[in-house]
Amino acid sequence: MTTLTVRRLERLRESLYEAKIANGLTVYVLPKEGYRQTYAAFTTKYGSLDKDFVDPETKLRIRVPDGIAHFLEHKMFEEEDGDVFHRFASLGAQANAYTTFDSTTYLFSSTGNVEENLNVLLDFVQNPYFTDQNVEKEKGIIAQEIKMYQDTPNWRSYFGLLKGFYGDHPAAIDIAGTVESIGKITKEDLYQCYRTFYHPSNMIMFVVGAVNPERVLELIEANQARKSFSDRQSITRFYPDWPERVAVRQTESQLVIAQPRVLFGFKDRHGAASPGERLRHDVTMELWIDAVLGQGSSFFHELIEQDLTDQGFSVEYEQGERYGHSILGGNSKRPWDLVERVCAELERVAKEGVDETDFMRAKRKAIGRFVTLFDSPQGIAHVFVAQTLREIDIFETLSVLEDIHIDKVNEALREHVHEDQFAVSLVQQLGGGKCDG
Amino acid sequence: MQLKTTRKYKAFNAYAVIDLPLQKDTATLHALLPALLLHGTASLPAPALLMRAVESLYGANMHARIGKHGNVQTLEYILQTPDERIVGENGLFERALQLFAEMIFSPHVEGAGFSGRAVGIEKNLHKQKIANLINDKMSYAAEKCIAMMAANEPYGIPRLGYAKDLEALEPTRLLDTYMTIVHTKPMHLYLVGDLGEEEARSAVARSFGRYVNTGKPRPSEPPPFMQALLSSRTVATATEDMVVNQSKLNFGLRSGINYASDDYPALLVYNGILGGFPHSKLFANVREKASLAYYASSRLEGLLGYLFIYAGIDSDRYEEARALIEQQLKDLEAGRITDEELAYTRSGLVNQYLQSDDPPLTGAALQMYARYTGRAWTVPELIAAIRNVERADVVRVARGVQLDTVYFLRGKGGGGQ
Repeated sequence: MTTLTVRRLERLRESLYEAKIANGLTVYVLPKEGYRQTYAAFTTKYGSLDKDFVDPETKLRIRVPDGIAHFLEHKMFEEEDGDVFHRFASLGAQANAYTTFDSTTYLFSSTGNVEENLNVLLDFVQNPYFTDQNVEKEKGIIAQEIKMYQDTPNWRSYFGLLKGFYGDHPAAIDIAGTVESIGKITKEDLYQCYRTFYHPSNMIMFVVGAVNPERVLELIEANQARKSFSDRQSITRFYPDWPERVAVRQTESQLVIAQPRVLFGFKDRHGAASPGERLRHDVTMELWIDAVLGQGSSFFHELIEQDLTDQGFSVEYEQGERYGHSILGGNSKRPWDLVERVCAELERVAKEGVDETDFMRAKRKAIGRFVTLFDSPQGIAHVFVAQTLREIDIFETLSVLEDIHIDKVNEALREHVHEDQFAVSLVQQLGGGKCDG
Repeated sequence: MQLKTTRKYKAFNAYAVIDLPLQKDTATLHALLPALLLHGTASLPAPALLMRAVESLYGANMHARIGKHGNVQTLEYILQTPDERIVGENGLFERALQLFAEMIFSPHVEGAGFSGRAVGIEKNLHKQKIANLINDKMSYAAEKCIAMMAANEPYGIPRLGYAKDLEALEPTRLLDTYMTIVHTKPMHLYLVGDLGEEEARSAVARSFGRYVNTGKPRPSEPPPFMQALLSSRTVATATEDMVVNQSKLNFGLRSGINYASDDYPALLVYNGILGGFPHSKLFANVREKASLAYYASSRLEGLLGYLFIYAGIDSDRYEEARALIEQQLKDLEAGRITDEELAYTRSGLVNQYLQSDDPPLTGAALQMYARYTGRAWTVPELIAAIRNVERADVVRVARGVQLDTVYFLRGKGGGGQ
């Protein structure tokens, strides 16, 4: 048996077990004492960004329709002998899956039959079954999913902003694709993506809950030993360069809503040099955004008092290997005034620096929120799989946070807040008065 | 006060709740109160000051909210702080609890009322919050269905009240009402975390004791009216047109059974077979077989025994979707339930109840239901009862289920790009 290495995270009172098995799959186990449920996530480093790559079998470079990673996620749940949900249901487990820009996760949570459920999870994800008929049938379901999101102001404003930042770059593509793009998907496309991205060496398994790490590893190894995989290969993927400037300064759409919704922010000029840098950048950006514009800042409450937005106003920083940007905004009757006020405040802080007290508040808050994340198996799994596949060690977060100096935070703010990296996405009220910029 | 001592969590959780009858003339006033409490306290008389103090406690999460559970409106107060030993800050819990008590009992006051300015701002925000319901079409359709179905019952009153009633709310009346509530109504406090009994009691006595007599229990109130009503009317159908990409089809049903009934576990199984899981009839037939929807499911309001069905569909497939959903109801009534449907639903529900042990505040929810219905199911009792539910029990429940309301939000062309 492959040996488990263990990391003791003294302050968090947690231990993380890790092993890489023969076929390249990396297994992580975080035992939680006292918890009833076990939550397992089986994740591939493959998401909506991966649309241009070399098929390992034919060695040909191919481009696939938008939304295919998500389509594949849906189709994995169908097997020749029936629906995978039924198999989990018979074992009292709840199963689900989700697709992001750079990963696809299959998961279950259960309070019993953990070993059987782990086998079901491994087996269904490693057994694709696509037919012309079942692929066609799924198009109707996913078209409804796309339409549901198109009616959602948050989704519309979010993808409008990404379109502004990235234009034709895949970082701006709706994860589910469009009704037109998914219409083109065939079972051959799905198999091609499957064999490229679902090799165990491109995947990780994370199990958190009331489990014995040795037992979990033993079971996964035995399961994997029953299957044969080609020799592991690195995957050749192609992405356009990180765009130098924003593609479109301003995007707009209309929906039936109570008041306009505006999101805006700044794109990073380039990506971080290494995963370690990326974690530091992430933490640094989140700190200044929260210190200056978060719910605990005086500025946020001024916006509310001036009737420029409501409690749903949100500020965040998002980053992957191929994108990085701030996203600010919310509902506003006077969206352009809101944008102007926030930009003026950012300019002021860029000149004068972040207030020391606000910095300390944001830092303490980030520490506290990171610690309490461990109370939610689902929450920790979500963050862990996404960041691990980006080669980021989330357990470094605490020490990065504690070491961070206010000068670094000011530097990051000044670097980020730049006019040529700025974009706005506005969702107007359909049938309501139009507000022009 | 109830304490659950456990080392399971890295956070310390406190939750306090006051039950209020859900009534047309007071719903809006009650719903506005949480925002006013968060607008400031006696020692931190502005929202920014209060929020900054809270966040400085290592990102503590503290807020007040209005809830709706069956025919009851609840004032709820929530506090979560990281374990002080992990973040290395002695006295964090005690300070957080002080602030929590101050938010509850000592709001920022000007003269004999809440600050007029605060009331003005919060009324405006509240009005907007009510209007914003339309932004989320799924919730909007669900609320419309409830409002139609329970038009003459407390349950038909929206959680946030009515925009038109906001105007008349005066700072003085708001404060008077709040102070009467908080000083006379029973308050249920739950603490969960790595705390000793003595430590917790004395911390509560020190913080809450500054404002109220924590040693003297308040007389409990009679349980609210919480009955599973049946209807004598024919099915009410309504269609509303809106410019949306996806239409929403919602059904409201009455089962005549609620949490207090011996048949409650059978009702849980009924809802599970109908639409509570991915193996359920609605998911399997409306989504997987007919490809009509991305989501097609059902939800049970257990206090009143009402069921709601939701599906997002194309507008031109309304007849087909409606007929298919009604067919699932008929199949349940006729006992066309496979062994798998029954077995999977039982084990799915058992799993959910076992899993409910993991979130820190499940106990508070169970006690709330017990207060409202007079029936105190424990989790092991519910699990045992669910395991014993047979097909005949589900059919008995199904025969009592009445379709009451069908609400259709009909899409008229999509929102343009």
